[in-house]
Amino acid sequence: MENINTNENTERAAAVHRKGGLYAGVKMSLKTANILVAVLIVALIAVTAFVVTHNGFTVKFDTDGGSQIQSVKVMHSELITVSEEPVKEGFRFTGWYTDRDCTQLWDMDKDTVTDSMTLYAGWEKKE
Amino acid sequence: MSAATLKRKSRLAARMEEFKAKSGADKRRTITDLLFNNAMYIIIVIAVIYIAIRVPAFLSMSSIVNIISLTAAKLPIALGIGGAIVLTGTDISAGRCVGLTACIAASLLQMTGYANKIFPNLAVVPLWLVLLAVIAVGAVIGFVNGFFVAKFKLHPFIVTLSTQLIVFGLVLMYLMIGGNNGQTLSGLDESYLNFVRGTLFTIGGVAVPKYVLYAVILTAIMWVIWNKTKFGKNMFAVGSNEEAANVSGVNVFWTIVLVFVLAGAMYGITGFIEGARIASCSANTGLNYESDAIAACVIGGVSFVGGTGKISGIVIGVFLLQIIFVGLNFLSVDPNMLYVIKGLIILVACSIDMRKYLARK
Repeated sequence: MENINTNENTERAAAVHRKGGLYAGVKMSLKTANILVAVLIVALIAVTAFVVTHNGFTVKFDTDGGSQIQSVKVMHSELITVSEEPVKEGFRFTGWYTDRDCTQLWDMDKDTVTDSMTLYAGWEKKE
Repeated sequence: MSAATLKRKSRLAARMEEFKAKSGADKRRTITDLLFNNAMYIIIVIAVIYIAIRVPAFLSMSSIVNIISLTAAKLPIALGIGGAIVLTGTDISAGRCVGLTACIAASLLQMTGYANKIFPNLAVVPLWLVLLAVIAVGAVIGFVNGFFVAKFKLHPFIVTLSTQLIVFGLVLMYLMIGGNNGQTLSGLDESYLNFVRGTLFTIGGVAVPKYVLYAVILTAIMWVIWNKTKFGKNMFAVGSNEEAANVSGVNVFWTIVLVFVLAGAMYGITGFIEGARIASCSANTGLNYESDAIAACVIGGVSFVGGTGKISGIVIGVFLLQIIFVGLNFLSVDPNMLYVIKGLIILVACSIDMRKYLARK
């Protein structure tokens, strides 16, 4: 009886020893870990700083077979300015829309940008 | 002064005494630990101050309500994944699971008479029935995850990777049903939109949506489950040491399965809310949601060591991440670049978590 008990206890002890979850196998001194983690933190800060200094949302224009319009960089809560209207053989340009089905019109004079996006040209067949 | 603040003050004083009594090397060690353990919070606080100075609108009422709403929207999924992380696992099927349940909820709750309805002859389905249905769908996916993790001892990463693919396939096939032809689901019923996005109350002229309340309720439920039930205690026992839990008579199999089922149910609820919140569900809905949730949990102190984590930590983690994402959006950071930062945040948060384990060892 006693034997079984001891067995169980050693089993329990061994189990307790195996703690550590995903990191149970980590073999590293705290000093090394400090350096590596510090490097990672610096990398995160550096990348964030880079990204913040190279900011700007990209607005692309999909003309659905019409003339190409260059994409523009726009900052948050700014209006989009397009230099020219697209043209397409046999169609009349009806404005820019935020969806491919051209149901949501984008008002260039009022709507401000809050994210990168694509605007779709609306076309009406010429009579 | 209340008793609680007095107690906290005396605890702080005791800590200071303890710190003063330490030798030079020990002092340095304590400070290093403090800096590393809170590195993520320090970075976020500095970032918030920087953003608030550059773009004052960041601290406007509408922006704060926006951050809180986003936190509420992303909270249930994080609460679900938190359980899997307590078990030293993870769940990368979460995002796709949210996508599937969002598409199901949206398809069942399209308004009558809408031209591109996925089920043209479907009458209005009661909201509660749809909610139960998507919870059930999430729970079934969670059960599959949990079963293979618990029974076959496969790593949760592998199991949930496969369910992620399967669920994505299901979403794509689901969106091909009827006349929908893979298009975005929109034209949702007014009652559904109002139930989720309706105004809970207005503060400073800004409407707070109803799903904030649902997130609060879910957080309370999860807090009770984690802290006050036998299942919750078993979950922490299995997470901190599976063998020991088994020896002490915990049913490890069912504990693991239930953690994943509960997580699945949470994804179902997230999907239900998300369907109306974004109001146009496609196959892309839910993409990468799990990465935000995992990052939030780890930042909030749910450790991959297993068996440690608090609901309050998850809430703080989700909130801090949303602050950063909204702030970077105010700084006009391109979403493409945001992915790089998100990835780095996960890596840094997990590294700090690992270092914490080393320091305690």
